Amino acid sequence: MINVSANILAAGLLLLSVPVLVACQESELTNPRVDVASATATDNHDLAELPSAIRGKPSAPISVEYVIEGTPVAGQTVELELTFTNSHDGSSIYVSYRSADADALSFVTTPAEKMPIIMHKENGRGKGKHRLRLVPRKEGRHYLNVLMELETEMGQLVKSTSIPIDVASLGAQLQNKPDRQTPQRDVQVDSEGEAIISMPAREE
Amino acid sequence: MFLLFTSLLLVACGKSDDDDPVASSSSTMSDQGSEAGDPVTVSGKVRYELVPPFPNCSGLDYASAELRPIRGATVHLIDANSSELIDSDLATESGDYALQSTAQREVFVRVRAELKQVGSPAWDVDVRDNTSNTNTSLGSRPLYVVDSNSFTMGDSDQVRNFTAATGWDGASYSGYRAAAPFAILDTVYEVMLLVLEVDPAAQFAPLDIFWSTNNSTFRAASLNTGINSGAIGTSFYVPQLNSLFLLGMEDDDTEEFDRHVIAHEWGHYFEDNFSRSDSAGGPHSLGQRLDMRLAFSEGWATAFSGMALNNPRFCDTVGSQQRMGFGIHMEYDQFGPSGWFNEISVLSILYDLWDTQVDGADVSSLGFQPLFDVLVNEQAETSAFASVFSFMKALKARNPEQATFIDSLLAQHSINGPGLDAYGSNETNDASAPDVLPIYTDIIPDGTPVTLCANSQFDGGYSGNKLSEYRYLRMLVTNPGSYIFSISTQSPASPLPPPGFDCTDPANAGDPNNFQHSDPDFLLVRRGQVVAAGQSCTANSEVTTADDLPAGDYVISLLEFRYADGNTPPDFPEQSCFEVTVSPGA
Repeated sequence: MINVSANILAAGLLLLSVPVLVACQESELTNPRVDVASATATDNHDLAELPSAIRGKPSAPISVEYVIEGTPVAGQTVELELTFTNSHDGSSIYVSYRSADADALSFVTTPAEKMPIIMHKENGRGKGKHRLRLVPRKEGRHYLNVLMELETEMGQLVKSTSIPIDVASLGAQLQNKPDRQTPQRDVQVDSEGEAIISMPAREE
Repeated sequence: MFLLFTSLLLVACGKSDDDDPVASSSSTMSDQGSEAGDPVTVSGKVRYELVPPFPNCSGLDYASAELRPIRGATVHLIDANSSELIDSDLATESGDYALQSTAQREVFVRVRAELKQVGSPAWDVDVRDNTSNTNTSLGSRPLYVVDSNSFTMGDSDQVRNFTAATGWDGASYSGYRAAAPFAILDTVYEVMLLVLEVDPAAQFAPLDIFWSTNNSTFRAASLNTGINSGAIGTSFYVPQLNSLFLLGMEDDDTEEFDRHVIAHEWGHYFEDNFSRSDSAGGPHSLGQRLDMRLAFSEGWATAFSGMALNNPRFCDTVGSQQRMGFGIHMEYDQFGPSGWFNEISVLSILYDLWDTQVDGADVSSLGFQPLFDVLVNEQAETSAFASVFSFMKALKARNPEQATFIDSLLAQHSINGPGLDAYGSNETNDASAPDVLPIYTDIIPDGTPVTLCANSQFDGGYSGNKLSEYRYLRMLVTNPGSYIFSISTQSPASPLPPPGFDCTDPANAGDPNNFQHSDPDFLLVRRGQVVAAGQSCTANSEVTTADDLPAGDYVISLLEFRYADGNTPPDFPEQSCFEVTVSPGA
């Protein structure tokens, strides 16, 4: 059983890997800034508190966690239990689902364009569940896109979460449709030795 | 007029005929005959397609896509056979370029997703793919470029205009999303103009922006894995990397045309490189009651996006075919309880200080310069934590004639302006909750104990960044020297781990004794610099000695680490109370 929280940015976890990446970057700053290097040197677990923690965009106060029941196998139905949370006022939200590649991941029953999720309140937040049945058609990683909508006094707030479904093979039931035809972006090296991704310009 | 001035400044690094003897020989765009061996010019415009959102932010309006100049980007002329770089230029404010080669050469034009300028002002912005060449350092990941088809220079000058297109076919992105990196680059160009208006010699630290069609709202377990795979969860700024990461997966969440989102994240870059942020970062949703440092940082970043783009409607599009979205109107929207802990309150106040529209208490305008001056001076150096209080205290001191106006804006958002100081000492808005006020508790470094409580009442997700999860202390050191900081948990009462239990032993990583006890942690900060930290995993206490503390004002942030740890059991109490002492050391 795979149990995954799709809440964004558990800052502590994310930041644990940052020092590894810092070593890759060279940017001597000439402008006034706060140096927190002395703090990172002594941290063990509490990196979330550092003033230099990552800072994300504003988002709607709704989230989803999910459980994929069983191991997804191509050609076999797999079931997801999704738990939605409204941390604003606990009211119901609306949800819509979309397979990023319908040839690779399809619904057993086409879900409604937009379905209400009835919430029950827990500690001032609303929680609601929904079950969804999918049929992976091809092995590999495929995404289920979940769009959540919340009506508020400020208007409609929305939030998208993509859920990866990692599909193992079951040879006989595979559909051998080609992958979605999105142009590949080849990495090249230019004459200066720099890696580039070249895309075509349209001439007017 | 001033905007025009700074716009010209931003492309001042573009090649001029005066500093290029080759260029001076042919600068027109008309066909001119050329002798064999003489240089010939190819010139024209480089542009990208910008897809605006619908006015109510209900998705991207592809039918209204417009051509915009790729301002300030590097344009190369490259030999199509040898790949040799022949000539280079920077696109002007209107996207014009001019490049030269000898006649009859087979060439192509390349536009690089970068802004480069040395001197004063200076900047260095790249747009790269974080999900390619993942065995290399981030700064070496591939840069996006668009290339023209190859063509022959011929014997005469010629005009060629190139466009980076969206790749949208009416239903999906079936083509190359070539416009994306240039749309991102142009938003950065736009926001830098606002800073250059008030600081024409600004030195912008190098900035890498990472965007990929693989960047999705799925979040990997670690940042490293997420960056390499695209499972980044959301768009964000990482201070340690001085980099932005932007979502790009279609039908999920794409940012290349969400100009406010890009500008918001750039606002965080500004904080770190021109001012200061003490934000703990982490998840934050609209309407939540946040740690005051987070509330100010996020409120600033969103307000800045409105100022820099001269558009008060923050818009973030998402969903299938990018047909959904939500907006924040900086003039009108309020969400959740008003106050110093609400990012929307902060952004509304800051935006109203800048804008010239009269509404409600917003009867005046300071413009950007006074806000900038405070951010790069007092806010960067305040002895308090950087918050709306430290900012407004300095703003009022610098602009006493606007104090009444500022106070009325603060009052509109339930912040007590009269008598305000950098520590919020006069604040009376307690968010109708315990363990919120006073914002700072004074502590004397003579061993006198202070008791205070932290509370996770506004945090349902172990984010550890909501209002009352951190508590603050303020301390004046008059005698330089060593001091012993001691924190002990008074409640919740829980049995200590078994004798000999070592929480630092990796073998005990999964032991419940690591998660079920109170774990107080603290940082000692002097004018934004962390000078000591007590962050052990010891249950119920923290003892740290800070040596050689100079005299001066200090602040302490105190956190119950259980609130920031996803391993904390659900029945862990909402409130933790501590006794804190600071005593002279040996």
